Amino acid sequence: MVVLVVAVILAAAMLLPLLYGIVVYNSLVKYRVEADNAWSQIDVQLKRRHDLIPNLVETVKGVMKFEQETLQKVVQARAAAVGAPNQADRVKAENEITGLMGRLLAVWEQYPELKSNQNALKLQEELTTTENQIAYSRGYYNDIAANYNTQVQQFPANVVANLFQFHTKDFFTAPETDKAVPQVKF
Amino acid sequence: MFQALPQETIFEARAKARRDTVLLFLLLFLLYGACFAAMGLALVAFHAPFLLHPRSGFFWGVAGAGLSIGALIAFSQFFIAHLKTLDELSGVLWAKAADPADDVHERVLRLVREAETATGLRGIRVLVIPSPAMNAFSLADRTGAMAIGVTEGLAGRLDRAELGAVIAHEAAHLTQGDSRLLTVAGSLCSSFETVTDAASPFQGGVWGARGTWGRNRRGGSLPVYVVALIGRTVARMLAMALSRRREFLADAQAVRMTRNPLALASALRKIAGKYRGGDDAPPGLQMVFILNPEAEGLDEREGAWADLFSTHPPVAQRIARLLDWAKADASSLPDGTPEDVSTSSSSPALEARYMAFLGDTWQGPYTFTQLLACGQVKPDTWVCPEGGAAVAPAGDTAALALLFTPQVQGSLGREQCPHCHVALVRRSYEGAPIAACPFCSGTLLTGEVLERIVARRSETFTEAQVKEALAWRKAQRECSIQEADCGVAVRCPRCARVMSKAFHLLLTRVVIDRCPYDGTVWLDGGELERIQILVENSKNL
Repeated sequence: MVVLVVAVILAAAMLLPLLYGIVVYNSLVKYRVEADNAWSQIDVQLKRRHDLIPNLVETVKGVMKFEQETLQKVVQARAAAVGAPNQADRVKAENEITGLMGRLLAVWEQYPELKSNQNALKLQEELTTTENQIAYSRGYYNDIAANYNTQVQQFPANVVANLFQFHTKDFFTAPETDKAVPQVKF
Repeated sequence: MFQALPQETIFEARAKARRDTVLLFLLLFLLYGACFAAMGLALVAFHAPFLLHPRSGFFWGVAGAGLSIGALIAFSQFFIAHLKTLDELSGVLWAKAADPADDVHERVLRLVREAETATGLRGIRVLVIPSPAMNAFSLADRTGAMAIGVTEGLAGRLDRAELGAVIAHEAAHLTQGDSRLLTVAGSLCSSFETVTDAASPFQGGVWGARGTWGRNRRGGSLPVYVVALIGRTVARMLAMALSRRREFLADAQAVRMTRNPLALASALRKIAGKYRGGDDAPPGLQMVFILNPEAEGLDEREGAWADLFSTHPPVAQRIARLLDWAKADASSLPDGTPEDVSTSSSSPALEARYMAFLGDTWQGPYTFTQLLACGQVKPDTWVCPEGGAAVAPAGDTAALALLFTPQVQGSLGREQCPHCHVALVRRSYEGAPIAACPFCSGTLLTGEVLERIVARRSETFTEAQVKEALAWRKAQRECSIQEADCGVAVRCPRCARVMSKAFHLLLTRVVIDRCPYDGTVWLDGGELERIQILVENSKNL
């Protein structure tokens, strides 16, 4: 009788951590998939912005006399982002585009020719919404990544995480774009 | 009272909302049980006090029965409220799906897509209430279907950043699962209202009138009434407190998402100063809106009483908090008057007129759209600018070559003007898709587009136009539609049936033609502008 009780207790003691491990493992997988998915959402938006840049240059080239240099930098940064050898370089180039785009959109309102042109208005709306989508998807990814990182690092889940090589995710840090609106004088 | 912007992620916010919901449900559940038990006891104590001898056991019987009845009602109320689908809820609010062909609606659609990206939610439906009021709401049902809705007035009068902030606020409600919380709160409150109304001794309540207890038939419900009244008050206080807390949290989440507290503050200020659609919003649903549609004054007041009984925090307090986050003061907000959005609908190229050699004679002069609509100009048709002598084929004239591009041809509608019998040209007016005749400038509108246009203000009118319209309105007799001057009957350009005549509104007295089959509206030239001017200047009528 005693032997039976001891055996049951021992079996339970071995089985419970195993069950716990399975639950934790599954939830970690779920969070990791979520984080990967959120990352790919950023990618979708960045791709969309790349597609808009030629159109942007074509539309404003003749109008934004004082922003030729900015436009050129945008084109260069786009090329750099597309041909980037690694993730870090790519993020750097994309961040540069974000900063330049912010500047272009800020001065946009000051060109009456762009404000009265239907195509330019449509493009402005497209660009604004894409910039917002990029910022938002980045914020969402960071939320998801924070959640995942917490799960990975918390005890006792970190035991399972270490065992199955769940690594913490890096945050997508945005550049500190200056909020001051640049002034354009005619 | 600076409060730091909460740094909680959407997961923490969601978990908190879940805890709130459970807590509220438990509290209200207890309240229900206690109240119904007390009601039963009060009823017995009032009419048959001898039964309540502590040793008789009847006391506990009544208390237990009251408790279980209360619990039963609580659960059934909850489930009935919970079973409502999104379609039913949006139907109650008269909300319709947004129209992607409409510029203003398209902007709302884009902003909701942005909010989806920011929150990770998918498939939020976008609804629009065709009303000039200013308000926004969010809904979710048991199946997980979600919707964000705005009124036409809001979509048309806020700028992009403000509208985005409002939509972010509503999306925050959806991520936090507030809709479910509000469903619970609303349904539980409403059942107390039912009981109080039924037991009221002042309106011949049903319980008193049907009382079989013998003496004093009407006063019999007084104790029940008092208990129910207390219960209702407490239930409302609980629900309102939570609802207000959720509003603050949603504001905070919206700011966290858009990083623009000022936009939300100025949007709130604009909504607060305008009509918010109190007449259209059903009583149980005020809590789903960003600001209470009933501007009863309680929302604006601070202090203990208002704190206990309003669904939303005072607007001033919400704006103050937002300004705090922006580290700005009230002077940085626009003063509530929407800025004029000037649109340049006419360009010199469209104003130029040409003579065309059609049939066997020179005809015209016609504008670009008129040439397009008459449909007889081919690339080899001879044309000549008005007053000029240079005759050339239309295809070789730079300004007219556009006529033959698929883009311009595509704007040609299939419908014909009922007066001029030429094709109507599709264009955008106040952001809404309409079809207009370039000759008589009559317009064909579909369904609710007329309501949309009336709610919008981006088209501006000259002093003379306004004066003319007001004078026209003054000259109208106050008579029925049968006696009014209706002009000739027209056939619907869509289905060729005779359209019926009706006043647009008794306020404007503009006679419009409406197809009785599909609701299509035909307006003769100038009538649309007249309606707009009269509605916008209704104060001067």
